[in-house]
Parts: sequence; C-alpha cells; structure tokens
Amino acid sequence: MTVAPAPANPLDEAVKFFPLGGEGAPAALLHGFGADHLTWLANQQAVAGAAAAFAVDLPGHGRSSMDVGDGALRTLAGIVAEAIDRKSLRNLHLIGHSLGAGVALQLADARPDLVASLVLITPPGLGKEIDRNFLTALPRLTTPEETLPLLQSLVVRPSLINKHVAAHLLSQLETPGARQALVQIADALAAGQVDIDRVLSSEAVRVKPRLVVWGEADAINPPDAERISAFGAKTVIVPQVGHLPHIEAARTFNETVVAFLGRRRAP
Amino acid sequence: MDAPVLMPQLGNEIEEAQITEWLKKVGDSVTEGEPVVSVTTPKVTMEIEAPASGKLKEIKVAVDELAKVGDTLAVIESA
Repeated sequence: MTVAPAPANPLDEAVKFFPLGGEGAPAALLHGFGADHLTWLANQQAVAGAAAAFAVDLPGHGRSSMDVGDGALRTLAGIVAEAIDRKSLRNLHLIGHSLGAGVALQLADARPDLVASLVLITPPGLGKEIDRNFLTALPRLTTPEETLPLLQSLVVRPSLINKHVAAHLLSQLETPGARQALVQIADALAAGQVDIDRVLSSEAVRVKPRLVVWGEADAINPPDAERISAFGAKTVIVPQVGHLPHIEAARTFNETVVAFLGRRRAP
Repeated sequence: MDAPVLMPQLGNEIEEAQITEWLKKVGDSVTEGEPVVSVTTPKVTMEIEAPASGKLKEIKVAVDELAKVGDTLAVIESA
C-alpha cells in the first residue's frame, strides 16, 4: 500500500490544510496526539456532505512544522489561528479529537471570531485524567512490538489497529523534530489542567453551539460524567467504544455530526 | 436486484486499501448499514457497511488482497 504525495500547499508552511470537498460553511478537522489528517478517513466524506471540509495537520504532526513553541494548547491554537487568518476563513465549525479538541477549545476562547461551533471528541478537561503513560510512551516508540499494543489501548476492538497502522506511526516519528515536538506537547498537556479548566468555563466558549462525543470505554481519557454535565453541551456517549469513537463507531459519529452541522446551517 | 459493496473514497492521497476481514460470508443475511468487511489503509482500519439489505451473494476480493477506490468488493442480492 502506498500514500501518494499530498497536493502542494504554498499558502501555509507552518500548518497544512487538506481540502476534503464539500460546500457551505467551512469545517476544520483537528486530529489527536500523534495522529495526522488521515485519521479522518472514515468521516471525511460524511463531513464534506455537510460543510466545506478541511483536515488539518496540527503543529508537530504530519506534514506541518515541527516547531510547537512551548507545546501548550494555547500556543498550538495561536499557530493554527494564524494559518486560518492567512486563508481568510471565519466562522469555522471545529471538529477536534482529544488534543485537537483542546486546540479547538483554546481557539474558541482566544479567537471566537474564527469559530462557529465546536464538536469535541474526548476533549481534555472533561475526562477523569488523561493517561500520562500513553503520552509519555508514544513519542519514544521505536519498534512494532511496542507500538501495536500501545495503539490498541485506544480502542475496544484491537483488530481496528493493525501492523500497518503501527508502521505508519513509526515512520511519522522518524520525521526530524517529530519526537521532540510530541514530548513538548505531552509535557504541556500534563501541566495544563488549570488553563483548560479556565477555557471550559469561559463565556466565549459557552456561547458557542457545542457537541461532545465520547466512547464510554475510553481508557486513555475516561469520561467524567460530572464535568461533562457541568459543561452543558449536547453530549453523545457511545457504548462499547474507546478513545476513537470517530473510527470505532464511524457511522454513529458521522450521523451525529452531520445532524449537528445541519442544524447550524443558515436558512 | 444486486447492490455492489464498493471501496469508498479515501481522500486525495490513498488510492487502495487491503481487505483485512470479511465480517459476513456468502449466503449470510445483511442489513443496510451493517458492517460487512474491514479494510486497512496505511493509517486506519475502516469497516465498510452494506449499501442495502439482502443476502451476500458474492465476495470479489479475498482477505489480504488490495482493492482500489471504487472497486466492487462484494455483491448483495437485495431483499
């Protein structure tokens, strides 16, 4: 199996945007820690049916710059905001998974003019605690034997993560600067609970239409019912699914998000 | 009427995927939307759903073989 080179994107060197098609309001898909824009393969067609969709490689990931500054969510959001500004985009529906959900929350807080709504998949700050071991181990993986079980801890059905997926991650980690960038982001995530709590309660975030999606059996960032309830968003908890509900329950996820985006469309 | 199970669009960069597992066998009843086959791309494993309800009439691509976007992977005889 091969991955063809992505179309050149001369507008942005720091943050790569990958158009997925679709019309209407723009929607940006922001992946999780250690992933890239290809994580949305099972969702991109559905989202592009409801919006003009882009998948983004976050700083420190995929084909974007490995310069992540201090690695804090706020810093990553600032870099992404600059890229969005350069594209003259406004009022984006942000669909973020885990790390990407944290970036989406920070964007809504710092630059509410850029954000129309938030779809937050297993977001930081609303779970019991993010598995520090996962964050620590992932940037340091070097062999398929250690990579496969770590990635399989993301899901309930391990057959969804196989040796090809593990090999793809290992090849990405060999990008110069990738491991260091992920370590920086992991350290900042571990130290950033106070800041994410502030953002979750900020008025700029609270006024946005918000959808939270979670896997009930998430072992990486288990959902905290009390925190989720206090956040006050529409919430869908998918049973028998782990940290990747957009992959493990793609059909449910796609239907939920398309319905949410459909209600946000201008008349 | 026959309904083909097709390899879906996988974006601009991925043109083919490997059949990982058939979740149904020929002759099994399937319901529209029910996963019938899982395929692996270099990034993620995806389950492809039945486009119609009926019986799985034919499997055209075996496990471990590669199929291109748009290829017919199987045929469902609609109910």
